[in-house]
Amino acid sequence: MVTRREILTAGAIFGSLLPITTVAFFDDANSQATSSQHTISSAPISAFLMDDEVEESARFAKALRTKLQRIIVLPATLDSKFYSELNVLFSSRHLIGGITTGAALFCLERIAWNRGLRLVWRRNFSREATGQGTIPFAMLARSLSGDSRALTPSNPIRSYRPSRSEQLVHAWILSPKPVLADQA
Amino acid sequence: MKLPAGVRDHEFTAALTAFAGVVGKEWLFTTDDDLALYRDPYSILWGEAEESWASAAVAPTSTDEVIALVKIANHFRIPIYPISTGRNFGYGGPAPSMAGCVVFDLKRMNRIVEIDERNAYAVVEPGVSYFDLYSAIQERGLKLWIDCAMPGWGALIGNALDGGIGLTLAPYRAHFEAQCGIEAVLPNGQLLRTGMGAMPTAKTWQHFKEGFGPRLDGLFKQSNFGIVTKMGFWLMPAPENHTTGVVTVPGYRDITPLVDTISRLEHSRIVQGLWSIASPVAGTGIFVVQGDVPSREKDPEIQALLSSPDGLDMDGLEAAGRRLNVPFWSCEFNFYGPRKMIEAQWSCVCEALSGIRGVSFHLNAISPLPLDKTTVDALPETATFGIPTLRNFDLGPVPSSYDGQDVVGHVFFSPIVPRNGEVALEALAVFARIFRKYQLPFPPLQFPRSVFERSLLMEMGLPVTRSPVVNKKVRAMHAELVQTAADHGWGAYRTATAFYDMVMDTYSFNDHALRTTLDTIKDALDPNGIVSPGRYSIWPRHLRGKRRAPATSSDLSRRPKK
Repeated sequence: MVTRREILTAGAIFGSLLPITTVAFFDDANSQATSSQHTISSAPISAFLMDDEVEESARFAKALRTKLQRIIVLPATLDSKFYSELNVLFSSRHLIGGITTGAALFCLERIAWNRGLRLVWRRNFSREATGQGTIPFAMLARSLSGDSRALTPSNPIRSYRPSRSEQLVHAWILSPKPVLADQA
Repeated sequence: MKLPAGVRDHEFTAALTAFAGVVGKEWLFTTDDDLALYRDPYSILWGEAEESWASAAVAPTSTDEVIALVKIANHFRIPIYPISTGRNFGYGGPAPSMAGCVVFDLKRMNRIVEIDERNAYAVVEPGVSYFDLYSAIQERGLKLWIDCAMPGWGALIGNALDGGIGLTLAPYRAHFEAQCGIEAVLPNGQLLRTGMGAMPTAKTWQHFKEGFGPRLDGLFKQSNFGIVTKMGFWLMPAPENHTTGVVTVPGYRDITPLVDTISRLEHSRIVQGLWSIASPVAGTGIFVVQGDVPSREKDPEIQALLSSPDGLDMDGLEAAGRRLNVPFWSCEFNFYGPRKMIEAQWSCVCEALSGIRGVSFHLNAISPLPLDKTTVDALPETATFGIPTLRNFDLGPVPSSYDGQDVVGHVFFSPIVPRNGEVALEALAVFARIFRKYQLPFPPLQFPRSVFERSLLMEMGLPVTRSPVVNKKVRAMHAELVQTAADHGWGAYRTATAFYDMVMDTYSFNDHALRTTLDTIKDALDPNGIVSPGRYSIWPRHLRGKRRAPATSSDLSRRPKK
């Protein structure tokens, strides 16, 4: 397992960025909450949030460290210092990606929403299978690096459980809330 | 587009346009994606017709914007539901009390207006979290502590208004009692300041709670009489030291003199830190005489007694405890302050309890404060030290499954019971029977909390799933708990949105005089009934026919007595 120390040693790494694209993508047809089409300006994620409770998250961060602009390790205890750092991060209004447990995502999604960022894409994977390379790193790497065409359809965005007990891990992207033309 | 009941499409559209004109389009939320975040993820009505949903949400950034929004809502008769940050999971979260409300999300009103170290208070806006205030105090190097809820991302104002609690000294633990001075936008858009704040030139708004005339602050607790936009809080001077002391007693009947004596010490202001009682023989407690601890978890007699379907045999447990030299009860006290004060308090505790046969005392090492980071990181919880965290992101409930369904959250049942030992034991037995009936674990001898100064709080989390069938069963269990508690004279002091009417029904003295008085106040302050209809069962005149959420009342096998 990749350790927190290994990741921290890698530090904040700025890699080559793919061109910014503008794409449309759709949620699963069976999604009740997210059945509408979202059009977002896609860009490379500005930070990857690594959950070192999730082995695949650490492996992904290590494997992609030259591509990811910034890697932030979620502490076991979310304290006031890290909360402040998250608020600064989310206030920057860039795309943020991560691979975490559902419980961590539950917290992060709500903290991000305070700063106007919304969960726009999520894909869950069986935790039992993650050790067998089930998470498609190549696809995630492309999508988290700005190539939204690489995104597979999202799972229903908010149907995940705010629980650590379920055997799922989640790859996800938070994005500044788009102001839709037909809104108000 | 979802519409509030009774509001026509074009009126709602006009209102939303006007809202956007106040806050900007970016801070008006109308899409399903946005509004999904205003569902209660722990809703016991999840996915059912009676689940409350928001028709829109709007996030103002100032009191002036709130006033403008309230005037618009009044004009179009749009029901609104203000939240601070909506983090009171288990008690409703961000979801409105009635479907169709426009949520007023006050998260952007996150200014710390003032921190006064000399007089130990702070004034904050609704979006200020415990994390925010703690960070501000640390950054400025002020010698002040906050008393925080255990999930540190909650807002001070929302938590206080909902009746939230913390873990430090008695005057600060009940958060609404620690407030001093409220600014609120009334349903007609008028701005009110309570207490000394009513004087425009006041220099003592956060110094003196009483003010002149009736104290109106309580009108804004668990209610819908206004939108609080500022609140003052008394803060705790940072203490010099902390430690804990543990008292153990051997017999189960010792609980009566133990609780009575501790209460007297607390009422005399000798004990002020939180104390908690547990049962070492049942495996729930702290027991400091380490060398004498047997492996009680493996003791077959104790295990058999604890798992008996007929309830606990207290005499049998006590006998087993004596055989193994394990005390029946332990009480852990938290002490804060100068070393001399802690030693004096401990001396008083020892003297007062020395009459209980077989009592033992152990004072742990006194630690200078603040604690270093390594120590803090190793603590199981940090709210005792006024430090907010989201420890391990551990919002998940226990157990992880119920009735074959994954548990995704919890709703609390929070009755208040008298502060005496024998009644507490009776309450434990009464509630344990109901838990057994519904095949839920109920930790044996999990003594209620002493967080309030003159009573005991039994806060029990009931499992929430995504199965309507299982959730209906849990609602029936909650109804049974509420009814049974009321039959014994124990009232829930706080509850989740789905149960507001059910609990209010139990406060029925003199033909529901409390409810009718609240109705009268509601009609006077909010004639259009726009603010949080139904919150804590206070309904505006035109919606009183909807009192009693059908999905919850139909689940009741026994309706609360009128």
